[in-house]
Amino acid sequence: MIRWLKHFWFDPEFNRKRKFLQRVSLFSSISRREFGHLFQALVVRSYEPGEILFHEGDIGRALFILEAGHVEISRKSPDGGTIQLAILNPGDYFGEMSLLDERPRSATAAAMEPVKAHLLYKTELEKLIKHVPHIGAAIMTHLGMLLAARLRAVSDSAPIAIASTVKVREVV
Amino acid sequence: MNLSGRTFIPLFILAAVSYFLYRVHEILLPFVLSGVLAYLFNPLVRFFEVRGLRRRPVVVVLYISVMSILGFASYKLAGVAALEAAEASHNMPVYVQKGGEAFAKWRSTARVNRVVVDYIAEHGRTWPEDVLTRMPSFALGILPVLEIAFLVPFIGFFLIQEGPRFRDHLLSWVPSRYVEMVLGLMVEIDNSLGKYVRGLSLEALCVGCIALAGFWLIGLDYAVQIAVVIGLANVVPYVGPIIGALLGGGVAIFQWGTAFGILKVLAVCIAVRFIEDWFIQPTVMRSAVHLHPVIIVFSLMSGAELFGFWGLLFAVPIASMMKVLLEVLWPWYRSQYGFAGPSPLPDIDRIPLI
Repeated sequence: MIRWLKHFWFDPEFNRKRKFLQRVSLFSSISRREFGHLFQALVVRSYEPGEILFHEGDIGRALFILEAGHVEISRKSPDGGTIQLAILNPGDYFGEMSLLDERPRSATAAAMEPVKAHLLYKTELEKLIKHVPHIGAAIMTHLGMLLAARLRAVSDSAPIAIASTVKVREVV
Repeated sequence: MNLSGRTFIPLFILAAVSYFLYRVHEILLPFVLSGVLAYLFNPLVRFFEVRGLRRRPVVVVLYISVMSILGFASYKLAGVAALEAAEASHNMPVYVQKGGEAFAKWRSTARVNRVVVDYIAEHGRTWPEDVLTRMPSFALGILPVLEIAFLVPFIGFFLIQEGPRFRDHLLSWVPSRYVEMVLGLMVEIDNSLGKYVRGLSLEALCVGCIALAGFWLIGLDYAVQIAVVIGLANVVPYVGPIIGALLGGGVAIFQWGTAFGILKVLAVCIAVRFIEDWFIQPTVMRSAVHLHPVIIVFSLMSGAELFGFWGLLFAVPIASMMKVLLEVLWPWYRSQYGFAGPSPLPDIDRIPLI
């Protein structure tokens, strides 16, 4: 009887989604109880093989979290060809820069097989920050750490080139 | 920019859908009201859904509970209204006499055009009787309202139950390249419309309650009915308080027959208006789409001109939706066709990389 009631009232899809999203590093610091709020902010979309999720140069406003399938990230080379940058697996997320600056996408994302992705739109993240600050702050902190790590990696790999482009603030 | 087939086909579909909606606009009302109902219910459903409960049983239980409460309240309210209507018909001769006396007094003292005075005297005497004789046709006029009262909860139930699935389903039809833009539109419209509908309902409730308290305080008859009308009329900006003042003033003439009585009603209506403007609106409508008063008046007049009363009622939410559409589509259009560069970056040249 209790089992039937539990099945009647509680959504099994809720637990499945929670287990999946807990594995996504972006949401690693969100507590179990708060995932329900996150689900409300996400939109699910399926893509056919070969379908383009977004093109290089498109104005981006959403972050993609890959649940099933593989996505190829590529960009145009100066000679007009295509350079493959990465192949993303389930659990990876991409397009996170758009949550911060709404600038043109720096690469193209294409589905390599049937893909299922969760989309987090910028306005939904802003709503989370306003109404459930724990979640909003956790996501923004993770994004900040990610960008800092990338910047450090770039500066470590080409310190002289970066130093020449950045004017050091004059000390008065 | 040349119109290619890929641009033309969506525009053609949009135009065809708009034309279809315009042709069937008379039957859209129950669907629009169902949407309003869905917006009102959504925060309640969401409260349980974020805790892992299934949407369907939550919606069924909430729906049955709320509809039972509303049904019981309507039954009780109808009883009170019937009692007051019986009392009104009993008191009508007294009211007519008092009203007549007040008018005669005003006629002898006020310096106004004789034609106006004679017109009011001619029609004012027969007006209460006219209203009473027209009651059966008024009652028949309520039938479409009853039809809506049954249809709206029915359609609303399915809208609430579908909820986010409906949005996901719509998105699955959108070409992948436009998913982000369409999702943006949906989120922004949903946000602004949801806030507007919930804010407006809360505002109408607050205004109705304050007006009721005020009318009770001055001892006005039919305070409940007038407060309900003020609350409902408040849905149309600037019109609610005027209707309230007219109705309350009319009752005051028949009840007290003095200018002081009308002044008391006017004072209550002005107080309600100030409380609404200074306290209620800034709080409940804080995050809804802001429209300039001139735009509000223009949209109200256009709505009334195109669709009559219902156009007046839905003019402001539709104007808000159009504003959101412009706010989302215009930057996208500008960036898509190269009219504008990307948003500026922070001044990184001034900050050393440390």
